[in-house]
Amino acid sequence: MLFNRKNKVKKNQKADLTFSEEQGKMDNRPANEGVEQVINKPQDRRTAMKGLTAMLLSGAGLLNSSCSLTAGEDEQDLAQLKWEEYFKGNYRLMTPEEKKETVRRLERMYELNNGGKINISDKGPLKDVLYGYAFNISKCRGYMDCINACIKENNQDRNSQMQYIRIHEFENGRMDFAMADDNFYHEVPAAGHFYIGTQCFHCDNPPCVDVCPVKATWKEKDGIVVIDYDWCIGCRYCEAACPYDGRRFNWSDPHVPENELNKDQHYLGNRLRKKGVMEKCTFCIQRTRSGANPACVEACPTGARIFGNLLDPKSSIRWVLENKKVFRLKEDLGTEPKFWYFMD
Amino acid sequence: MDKISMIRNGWRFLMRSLGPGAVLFGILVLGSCSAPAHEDQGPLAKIEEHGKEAKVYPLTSEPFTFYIKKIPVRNAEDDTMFYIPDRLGQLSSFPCSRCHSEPLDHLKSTDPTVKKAHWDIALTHATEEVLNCKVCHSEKDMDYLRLNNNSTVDFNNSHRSCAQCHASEYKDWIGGAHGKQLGAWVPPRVSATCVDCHNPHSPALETRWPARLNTIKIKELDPK
Amino acid sequence: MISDGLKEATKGSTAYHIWMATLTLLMLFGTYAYYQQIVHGLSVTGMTDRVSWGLYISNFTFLVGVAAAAVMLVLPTYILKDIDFSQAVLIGEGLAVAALIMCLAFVTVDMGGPARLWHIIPGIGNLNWPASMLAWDVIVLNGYLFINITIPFYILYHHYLGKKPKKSVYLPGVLISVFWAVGIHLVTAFLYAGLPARPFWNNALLGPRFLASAFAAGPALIILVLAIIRKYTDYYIADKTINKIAMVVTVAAQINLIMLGSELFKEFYSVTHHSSSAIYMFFGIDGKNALVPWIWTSIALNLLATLALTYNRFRRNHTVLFISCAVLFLAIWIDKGMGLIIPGFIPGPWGEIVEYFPTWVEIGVTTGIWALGAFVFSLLVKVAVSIELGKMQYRNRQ
Repeated sequence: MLFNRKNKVKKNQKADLTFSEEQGKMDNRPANEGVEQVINKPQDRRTAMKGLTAMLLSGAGLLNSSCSLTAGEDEQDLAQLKWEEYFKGNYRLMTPEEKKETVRRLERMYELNNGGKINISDKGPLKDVLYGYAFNISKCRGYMDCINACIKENNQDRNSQMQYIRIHEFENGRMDFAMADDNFYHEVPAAGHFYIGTQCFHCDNPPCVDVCPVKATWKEKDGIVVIDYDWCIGCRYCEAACPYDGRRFNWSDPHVPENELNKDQHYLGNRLRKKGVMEKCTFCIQRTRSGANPACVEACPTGARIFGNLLDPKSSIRWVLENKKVFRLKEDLGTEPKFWYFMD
Repeated sequence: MDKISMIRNGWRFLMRSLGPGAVLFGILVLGSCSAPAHEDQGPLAKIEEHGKEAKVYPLTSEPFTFYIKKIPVRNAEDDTMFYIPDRLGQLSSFPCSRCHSEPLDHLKSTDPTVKKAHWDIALTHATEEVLNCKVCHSEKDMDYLRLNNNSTVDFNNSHRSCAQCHASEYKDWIGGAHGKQLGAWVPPRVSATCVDCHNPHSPALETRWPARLNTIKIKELDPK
Repeated sequence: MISDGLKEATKGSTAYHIWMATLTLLMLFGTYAYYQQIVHGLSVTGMTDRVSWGLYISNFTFLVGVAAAAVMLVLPTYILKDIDFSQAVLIGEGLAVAALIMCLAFVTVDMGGPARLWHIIPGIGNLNWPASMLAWDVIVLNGYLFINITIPFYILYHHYLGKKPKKSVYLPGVLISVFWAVGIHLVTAFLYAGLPARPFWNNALLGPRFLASAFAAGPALIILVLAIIRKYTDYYIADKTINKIAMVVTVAAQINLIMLGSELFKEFYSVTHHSSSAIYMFFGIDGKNALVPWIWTSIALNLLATLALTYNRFRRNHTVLFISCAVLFLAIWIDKGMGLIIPGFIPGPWGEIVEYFPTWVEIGVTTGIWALGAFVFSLLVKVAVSIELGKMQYRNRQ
């Protein structure tokens, strides 16, 4: 109990810190002071929160969830965390400390909601690294093990069967995507057919990034195109702008069974999303930034998938680019994908 | 830099650097006289800009490959090294000479007291004209593989035996285009070796069913 | 003035009350449908990752055109001193305000996270201006709304006080709004035309065709509204005014048809992969043909109305004119809604044909927003007409 209290005091101080920063951004709107005062009054914080939330958000999402909590300390804690999370800024513009804080809040919120611990990373890009991907058309046999691994690794919504990767089955003789089947179910590889996988290509000129009205999606220094799930307003303009069908939208609350949850997460990667936001392949940012291969590469039984640092002359991906005949899809659009295809 | 990316970069530069107060039509006029910014020219330009020096990483692949006992392979082309998983440790009846010191006729006998090992091996690798057991296995010493010049090589370096026929695959493998890179993208590289995926006696991969079927996608594509 | 305005807005004939009550009911139904959408997410709509915009954005696009069309009346009235239009202008601007409110409502209901909409406010959020055309759209639409509220308010307020509004005050605003109106529609067209991912939209003619169809549909609606106002109020609107607006509608409809023709030529003379959307829309692909009846209906109605308007004799006959205007409005609504936004997504980037069917929630919300628009417009017109008729004036109070 005592420990809890202490924690809480600390948290309030932290809250003050974030609020004053937030305030700077908010141009000192007069209402803010009032908000802060009410928030920090310990007894009626909860009621105040409810009132304010209802007032500001016309009672939408936050109010709903704040009704279904267990009573007491945790509830207050959670309400406080939700409040801070709601008013936080764009992840890209956060200072390193702010990033640490939001990550800590999200971990704590998961703990309060679900009881377990998760680990959310805010690891930044490695120096002199530009990720690239190569896909061997001759090797892919349409097993779709990559898709399963991707879903598991990235905590994709099970209810809507969301998948970042699509494997297209082509009849020999033409590479016409309109004639390909991306949902086959028969013994593979089928005679006279070949297979091509698509996903987010992490374009160097990403059309999805330019169109976002709130800068919720951007290209990181290491070339990964990421989304701040908490900043996205869900307008789906990026989905319309992507020529590669790389983006997915959470049409309803995503569901991942607790025992299947991947608890090693990254803020920009596989942490749990909510309804009404965009998501997509992040080259498994939570894995690749610490050196591991993306889950799809790891799962591919044929070695058709090659991943690495384009800026490293000794990397496998560079060898492929320099020694194999490679091509990219829809190059005429000038998107400069960092995803190449090649054949044996 | 080609013309298209010049135009694109000019436009992006403009889009990003314009101050407030500019109107749509003003931009079009200004567009013709602004200097293009030298950014976003695509990954190939970035590779070129970055130069040729080898990269030093603060990370290694070790945490992701620690469970693999590694055998070094030297890339003669540029004198670099990579690793493959140990093979000898995975062979259940090694050393082979324990049994293969006896005549084959005895091993092939139907006597139930004689231990049966790989009696079911069927060689579906090239034609009989090209391959039989003795082409790859050394008659002189069954614990080793045989190369074309009658020298031997151990099972950990079986790729050298394969390379004699599969030269182009071997080249791709050394380079990193063939054979799965295990665990991590950071060096040191650990790649699957030939026999990790291909059964040397029957190297073609088998067909199987896909790992999943997306039932919702079916409904989307055909609501009826 | 506010209390006078409220008083004026709340009293009226039984028909007026029934009309407003019906609209309120529809809005309540829309609110209920939107509540369902908030609770369950956008999964209750017919939209999917394959067709990610639907009825909402279609209506938004169409209504931007209606809003922009107010300029067709503003321009001659204030600048060319063409007195004929002056009675229509206030109505036109009221229509623009109502249409813009509907636009903003449609965009908002389309959002996955409406609670996070504050992220677009510069200063506390990050508006991605000037890179994102949607950011441009946010700016121009709100700006246009502001202009179209302030100018009529200024004029009406002066009429209410019994004074003459000063030209030097409102004329600059009017000038800006003229360019602004063209701007909102071009920007909205660029929203789609700027996406090479969707070849159906990535088309230089999209902007001009938006303008042409808007300048047909918008004034067509205004004619219908004027006809209703003329019938149910004492507000005098000359035949000449209606005839002049009819001329505008006719010319715009003709230009729109020429552009439609050249689009059809481009799509169907040399059929490429980029024609797939048009093929799907006009003929269906693989037995999937949800849009086929819609687009042919639209084209037939469009042709019929334009032909009728083109003949002077028909156009001068007000019964024919009003029917033609209604038909044209409907045709363009289908064309800009069903016929533009949805086929842009079909086939998808990898050629898959996934059709889109709006659900009851979407239809409910859409109906609710149209009711909201009609409600706002009725209120504005009611008050404006009363002021213009001199029924509602400051001096009347004393």
